[in-house]
Amino acid sequence: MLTLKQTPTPHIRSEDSVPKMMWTEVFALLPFVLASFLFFGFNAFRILVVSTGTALLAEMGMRKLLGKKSTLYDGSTVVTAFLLALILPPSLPSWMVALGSLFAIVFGKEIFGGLGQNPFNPTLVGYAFLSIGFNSLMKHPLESTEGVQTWVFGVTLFLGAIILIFKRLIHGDVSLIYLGTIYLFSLALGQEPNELTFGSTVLLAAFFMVTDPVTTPVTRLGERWFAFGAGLLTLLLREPTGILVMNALTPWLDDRLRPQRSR
Amino acid sequence: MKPIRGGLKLDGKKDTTAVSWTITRPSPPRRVRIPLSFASDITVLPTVRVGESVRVGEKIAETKSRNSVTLHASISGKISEIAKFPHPLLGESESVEILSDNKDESLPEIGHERSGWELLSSSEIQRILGESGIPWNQPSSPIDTLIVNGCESEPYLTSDHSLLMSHPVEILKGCEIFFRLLGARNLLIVLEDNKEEVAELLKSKIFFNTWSHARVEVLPSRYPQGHETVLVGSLLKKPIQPGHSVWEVGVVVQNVTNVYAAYEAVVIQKPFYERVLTIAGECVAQPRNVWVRIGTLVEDVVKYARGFLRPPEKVVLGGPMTGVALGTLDIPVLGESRAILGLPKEVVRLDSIEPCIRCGRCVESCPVSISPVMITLAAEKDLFEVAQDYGAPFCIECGNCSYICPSKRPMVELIQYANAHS
Repeated sequence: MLTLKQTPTPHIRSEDSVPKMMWTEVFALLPFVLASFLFFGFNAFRILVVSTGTALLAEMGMRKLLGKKSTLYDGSTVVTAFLLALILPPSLPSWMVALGSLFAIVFGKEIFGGLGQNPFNPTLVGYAFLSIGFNSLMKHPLESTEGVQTWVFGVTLFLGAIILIFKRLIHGDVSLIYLGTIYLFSLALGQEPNELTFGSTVLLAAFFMVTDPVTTPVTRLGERWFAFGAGLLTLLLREPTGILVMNALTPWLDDRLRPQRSR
Repeated sequence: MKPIRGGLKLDGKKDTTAVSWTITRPSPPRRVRIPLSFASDITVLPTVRVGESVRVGEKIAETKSRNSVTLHASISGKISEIAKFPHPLLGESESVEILSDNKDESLPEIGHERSGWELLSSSEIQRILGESGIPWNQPSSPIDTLIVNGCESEPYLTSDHSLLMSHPVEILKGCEIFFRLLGARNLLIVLEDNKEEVAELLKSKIFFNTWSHARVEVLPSRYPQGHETVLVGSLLKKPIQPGHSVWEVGVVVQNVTNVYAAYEAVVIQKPFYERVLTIAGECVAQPRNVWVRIGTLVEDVVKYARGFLRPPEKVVLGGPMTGVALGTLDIPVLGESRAILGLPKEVVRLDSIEPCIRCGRCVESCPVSISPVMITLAAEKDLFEVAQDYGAPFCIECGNCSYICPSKRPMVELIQYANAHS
């Protein structure tokens, strides 16, 4: 005798899933992770391990505390921890990395109810916390770039972007608008555009933060305006924490820039 | 021709049944159950009694409303029961069960050309369609364009494709019948670009017939291209408001099955008691297109396809995007049933539901430009006005948002829930 499932339509589903998407993002970060090991050696490894370890523990602890099921399998915590590790200066002491990572997960994500509910990019919440609290120790990552290293970082990040675009996880035009805004407005203001635009932090932001599904608008038009605004703010602050302001504007953008048949 | 807005490029999976255009004809089933109720709230009354003998094509039930509906015996034999039986859409319905006498004896006139059918008037054609059990609502406003919809944009389905390839001339005759019935001025046959050979075939026939009013349009294959509202919207740039009919913009859309049935009813005097159905899906041993008598039980069709290779997770009556999942195979095939699909676990993918990550894929895939993400998030909180604001009433339930959602959220159900409360 057959036992048949009787769920509503449609009866076929796409093969994509949230964990698949998140782990693909982690995978797309790997070339850049390896490049950072190459140039920063043990420090880069130390920061990545501390950031990821703390984030996983923080997530597990928060979920336990709030009596919710564990969601470690979905990979989103690892994405946040990796991104944070990759934008922190390599000389940062481990306790600060741990603090930033803890803050990112607890106050950037879990306090709002976990993945999908957080209004702000958790990575940038952790980063902003460290920047404000320990300004002197947070040596600006943009300043530590030089010839070959910039090239290798750039190439590995573009490689990651190609993976994401190929897997249809990000819209290339959104990243392009973000980078283009920074580049063109730098030029217009008479600044040297390359250093900021193609610095590893801004490229990371362009491919992994401005394109984050959770904290950006749901319509393509909204995403593009988001990228434009984020570009301007990045230029103004000379670091991607300006994206947090655009995160705050996302509900407004979603309200204004609706699909055609919505009023 | 511009593709529809949004929509999805679905994996067609039509190869298993598109290998041969021969539509096989199994010997008639041992019994059929013909439901007397329709999903559209119409119920017909039996004109036969238990114990009576019927021949194939004989009338067994009818209504006398404005748009008359009749049902016909699909096998010859004895009426064994008139009682409530399972119905795929309604749960259960009063049905007429016929047990076969294995003679397959049909009414004498079936198969013989109706003399003078080319000269029939609109009202005579309408009467014949009604008496032949072909679903038809006479439009209440003047019709300019008849669209014959051969899109078949859902995966697995090839019943229209095989019918078009094997009977193009008959289908064009059917088009002509509807065309005359409506007094339309344009005939548009719409196909998707996975049926280029059908397009060429029909174009050449139309050319030799010197039909200046007829045109074949090939659209990119994208689901839900074949949905009436979407089709009319993208072809004629005429948006259809919710609750309104395409008649209001002077259009009637007919599907290939109906057009062929109209040919059979008007020209060879054969009522609508059988249809072409695709039996397919990864679990089915021998996928194919078959002529199925209406009222045949799903289990008999499955048996004819040599059963299942492995137990299916779902058996679907109809297409994979809009059909109905059956709980039992003891269910009759209806006039509108395009397919029987045996789908395995890895295709059905009843994964656990994750929270929405606001990726916006549902917005991008929506063919009617509403915001499924906002509607469903509002529906979860019972904010029905917000749901309406974001376009819930425009939803055509094509299923794209549910299909594409990486969190596997029940999007269509939530939109239906919102619409039920406003």
